[in-house]
Amino acid sequence: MSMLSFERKYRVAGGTLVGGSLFDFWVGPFYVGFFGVTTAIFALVGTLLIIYGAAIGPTWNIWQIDIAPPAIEYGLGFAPLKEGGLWQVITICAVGAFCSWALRQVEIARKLGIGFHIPIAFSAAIFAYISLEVIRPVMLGAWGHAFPYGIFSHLDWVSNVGYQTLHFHYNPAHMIAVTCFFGTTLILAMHGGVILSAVNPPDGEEVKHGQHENQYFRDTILYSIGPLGIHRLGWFAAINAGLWSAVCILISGPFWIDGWPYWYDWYLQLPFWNDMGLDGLH
Amino acid sequence: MASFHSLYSQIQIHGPHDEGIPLRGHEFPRIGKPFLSRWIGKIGDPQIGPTYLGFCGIASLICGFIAIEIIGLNFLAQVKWNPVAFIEGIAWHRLDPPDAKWGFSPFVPLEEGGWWIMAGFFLTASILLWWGRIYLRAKALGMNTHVAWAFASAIFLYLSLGFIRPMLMGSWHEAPPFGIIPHLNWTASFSVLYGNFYYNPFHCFSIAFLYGSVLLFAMHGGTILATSRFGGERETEEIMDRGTAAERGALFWRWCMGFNATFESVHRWAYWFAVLTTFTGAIGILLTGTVVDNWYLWGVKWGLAPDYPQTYPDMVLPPEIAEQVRAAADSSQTAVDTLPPPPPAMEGAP
Amino acid sequence: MKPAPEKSRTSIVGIVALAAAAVTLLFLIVVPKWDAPWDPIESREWGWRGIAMNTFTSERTRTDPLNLIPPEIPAFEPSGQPASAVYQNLQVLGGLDSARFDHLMASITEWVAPEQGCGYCHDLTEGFASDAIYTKQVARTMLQMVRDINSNSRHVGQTGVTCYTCHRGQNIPSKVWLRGAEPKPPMGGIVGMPPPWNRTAENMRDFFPRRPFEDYLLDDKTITGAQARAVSGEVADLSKLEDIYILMMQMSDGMGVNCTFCHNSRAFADWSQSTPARINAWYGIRMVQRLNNDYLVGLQDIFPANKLGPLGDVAKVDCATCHNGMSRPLGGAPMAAGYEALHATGISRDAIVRETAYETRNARMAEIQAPPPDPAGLVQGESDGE
Repeated sequence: MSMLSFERKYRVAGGTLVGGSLFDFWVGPFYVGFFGVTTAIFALVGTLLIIYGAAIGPTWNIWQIDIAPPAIEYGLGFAPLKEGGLWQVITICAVGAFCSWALRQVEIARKLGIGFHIPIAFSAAIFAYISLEVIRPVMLGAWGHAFPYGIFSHLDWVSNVGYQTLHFHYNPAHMIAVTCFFGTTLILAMHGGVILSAVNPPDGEEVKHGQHENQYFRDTILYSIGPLGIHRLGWFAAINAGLWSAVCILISGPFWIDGWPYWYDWYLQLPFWNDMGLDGLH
Repeated sequence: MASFHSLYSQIQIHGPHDEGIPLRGHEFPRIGKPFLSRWIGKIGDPQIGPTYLGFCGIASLICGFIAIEIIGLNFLAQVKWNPVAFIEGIAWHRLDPPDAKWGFSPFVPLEEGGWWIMAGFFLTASILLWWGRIYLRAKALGMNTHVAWAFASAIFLYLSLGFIRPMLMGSWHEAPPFGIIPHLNWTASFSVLYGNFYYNPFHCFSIAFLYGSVLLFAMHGGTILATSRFGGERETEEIMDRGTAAERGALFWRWCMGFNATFESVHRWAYWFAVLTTFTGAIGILLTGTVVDNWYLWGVKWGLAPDYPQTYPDMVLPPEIAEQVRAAADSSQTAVDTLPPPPPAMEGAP
Repeated sequence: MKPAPEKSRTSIVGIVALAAAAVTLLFLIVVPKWDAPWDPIESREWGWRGIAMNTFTSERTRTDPLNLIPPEIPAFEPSGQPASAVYQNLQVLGGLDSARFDHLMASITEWVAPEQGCGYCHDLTEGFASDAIYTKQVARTMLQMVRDINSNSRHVGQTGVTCYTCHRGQNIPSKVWLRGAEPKPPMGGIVGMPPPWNRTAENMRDFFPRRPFEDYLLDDKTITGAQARAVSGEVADLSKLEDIYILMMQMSDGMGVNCTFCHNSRAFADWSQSTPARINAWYGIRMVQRLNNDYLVGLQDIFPANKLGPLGDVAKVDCATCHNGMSRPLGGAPMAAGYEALHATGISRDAIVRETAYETRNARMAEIQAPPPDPAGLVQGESDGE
């Protein structure tokens, strides 16, 4: 049986956003709900289209399969299926599936009586995806600016988009996003490590709890943010990693077409450098 | 509006400080009088300190201070001790490793990269001493040493970049410089020099674990915050004696994606994703230039690179460019600049 | 224990922090010269669809007054006698029809010294034949340079250049480069080498180190070594690659394009994945080397000291000098047409037809994709593209 020992008492009716009791049931471990049905439809259609795209493409090599958006000559119009139309339908399916999934998370959270923090965080990731595939292409006037579906073809896209602004590391929002990514991973390692080390103590030691966790980080790095705080911080940092990723790509092209290094002209032109004695150099 | 309580602390209780778990045995005493910060208390524990320094901590801080002084004073000297120029150029100052001609010699004149070696030495000493502290403090509190080994994985990446790989390559010059923009320039140049890091499979792994770590923290953080109304943040207690918070957290993911971790195992997932981010990254660095020169061509060899239709099939190189390409390819045994030298020019000579 | 009351001090800290964040954000929105998607940004694609080999142009470059084509001075009626019969001391253009010569002189004045007039080069008290003012000797060399470019440069091809291509109505072109100050080890070499950033620069183009220009646009170093061969034992040089990277950024920025104009960045070195523009750029680098060495460096002794750089060198050219932020200078306008003296082959304006890489690519894409895209759906303008 696919139910955990304590699960039965949690499987109650209600909490759905739409559809009432129509899809209010479970299939194996999965909760279905209205948005479960839409998720399944979008995901199935999208996946089959990707397989179809691979079938009419030149290769079945999983690394090389490439389902590309239309050439930018098509602008924001529809393209024939084999020239990017497939990509357009798959993108609709993907956005539909992701949003359905988030709404499904809302329904499950309501059913369990817990907060909406998970779908809120997931929304940040969906926003980053939509920024790349919809918002930025719309601002630039062509679907062709979106990334293709393919393992290495999307990396080729990332590479070229980075070099479109000559040196993407100079993008200030990219700097923030990378900092959030690295920072989140750092605190995840610290948090995961301290919990594991508390509940898996060396032989002969008792299991430790919050007081020891706090003490460990106060002893080593002066401050312990505490058991609730670390999850606030991690959740916030992870969301910001997604949001700043979205910002960094949304400004690259629509709001800045030159190389990012050249964006910093304003910094050199700040009026106070010379007043403070810089012109004495050279 | 009690739901906001999961995002910040609306009510703070400022009571007596937690003076700390008594130390066992022959250690230094903790230092610093703890104090409460109302702003920090809004998202986390309001108490700051006390902390423990001990031998490793003091030695680590001293070494770290020396490293930062070497780097900072080099920066300041480079702008002829002009403080305004120091601040203006803070992102651009650089302290470079020795040139390739010095190989991996530890004795390089100071101005030719010796300062870089010295700063790197003290920084490494500082980091290793800090690792000792992370390890010993866990032992001292009767906890296990998971955090120390996660830190060790990050140190492995750091050492791979700055020491192990330069040693394997026989040249300090392969190491990154100190400096904000310079190390970003180094990263970009490094990728181009070794033929596109996106095709480095260990770079792929590292990025996947990095993104996976962030995804996991969003999922885990969201789960704990969402169940905090049931005491979900009391993780160790829930691990030892499962309550409704853990049950609801587990069922959320079970119902959502058909699979759930437990309150303990989610931390194992988290731990390994974070540890493998730097570990696989380090492997990718160590293989670059030692085993593989050009990751793109490596990807072509193993069938990773998509074959796009040519957009300029009729483009042929003029003889003088073709000659240069051929010469570059001949100068080494590897045919790197791949295009077969074509016949005549593409546009009629003017 | 009772909840601690909020103190006013903490509120002030919060308000100050929020205000500082808001001011920083506002500053970053207002001060940098951002582009805007409603410009609109125009884009062109150079590679296969979906791999983002795209370049962009925005209102900022398109409306730069320096990039507008100046009104043409109507040609004069030929006089039927050579200029050498009318003027003395003609070393380059003696054989030209004297009316065409006058027309050229009038044009040069508009191109280079519209405010100072003839007196910028000619000592009007001693007469036109005098070489007393250094600018006249410079102008003669520049005239030889333009004729050389128009006759021999593979890079410029049939498009042709005039003084205006670089000068744009200014005595000195707005984008030139000088040697940076040599990095000198401070404190007798005990502290490391200072980086070669040009600290007093007012923009990033001038702030970047000069070494890439000196190596590749002045010395005739070949741009190789961008691909490591360390496994087979060659020593890779990362600092050299950083120089190449900076050179390529400066080239791209000067032409208002980006790396993907020439390269597929997944394999920079691979010519078979590059665009034809890379061939043209290859010739461009060599042309700039030649112009700097054959014409500009030689003028160093003619210029007065106050016209030279901090290290006493003459101003030199790079891609930006002519291109000024456009992939083809002045949108590819055949500036030299009508000035046979500037152009050894004397082509008229109408006769210039050159298939651009952009047209080549579009024809190829249309060939791959049937049916061809609806021309009404084109998003590109006609202005600017190789």
